[in-house]
Amino acid sequence: MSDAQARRVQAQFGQSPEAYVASAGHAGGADLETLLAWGRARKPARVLDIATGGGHTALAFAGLAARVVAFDLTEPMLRAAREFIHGRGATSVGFVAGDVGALPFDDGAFDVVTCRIAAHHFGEVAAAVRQVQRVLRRGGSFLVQDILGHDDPDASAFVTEVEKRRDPSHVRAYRATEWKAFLRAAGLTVMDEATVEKVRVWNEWTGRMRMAGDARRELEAFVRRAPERCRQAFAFRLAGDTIESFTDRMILLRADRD
Amino acid sequence: MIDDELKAILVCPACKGDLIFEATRIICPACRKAYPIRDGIPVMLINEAEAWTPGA
Repeated sequence: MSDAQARRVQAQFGQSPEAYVASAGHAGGADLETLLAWGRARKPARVLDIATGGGHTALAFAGLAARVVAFDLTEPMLRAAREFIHGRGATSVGFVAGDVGALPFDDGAFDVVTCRIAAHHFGEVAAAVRQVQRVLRRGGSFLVQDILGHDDPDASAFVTEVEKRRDPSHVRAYRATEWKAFLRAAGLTVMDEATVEKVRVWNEWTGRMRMAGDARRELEAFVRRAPERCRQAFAFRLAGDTIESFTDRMILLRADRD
Repeated sequence: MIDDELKAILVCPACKGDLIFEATRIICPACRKAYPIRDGIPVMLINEAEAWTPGA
């Protein structure tokens, strides 16, 4: 990705790596269970988890593959993930820092590549997907989960602004048709698809990124003055001046290398 | 820290060529670049690599 975007991601995640290890939304649930079920059926020997973040996905896949490589752009994030994964007793996970746009792995090195709740930070998703295709063996599976882009342009613009104010390294979430186009263009065929809803508890969601009080109040004012239908698109729950939560959807896809 | 299985699949992120593994750095002889190993983690970022000269 561009140097500017890489610096935004490193700045954002370098300041609060432990918060991502602790994040319940990232730790898993039905979404991670679905990816694990898809992955388990492939009987992988070697798995790459790109943009591993807190390392939850890498740890989960260490339970079904002999070898997992956890990969991330941000070194403090990787060190936090390593501490978490080693603390859980998993010893088969390796750690590598790098950019998804230039993966430092041999062609066909992996049976499965995972990428969970991260692609909305990538500067160029199409380039990242091409790299994933290259490091997968033929018939290998890319298991990807990310925030699903909204089909209504106004709702999409609204939530992208909310996300960017909270986290400047957020680029945007992609619609299902966009994901399928990225995958198809790279030579990957969609084999499984699912969507799940994720409730975002506002205090936890804004707190994880250590938003300053002023910025958070401005963001809350922005949400309150947005058109009602934009808030409704994400089931924003307001109580007086307080924002309690909102809900967004995640897309999960399994795409196999042709 | 970097075991043989990881060494076997790591390549240069720029040219995808083979690497030479040293204790504190990973060298791409084709690109003449050295990637740092920090806290046991190979940092395979092109803009973090230093120039490397054979024999140096």
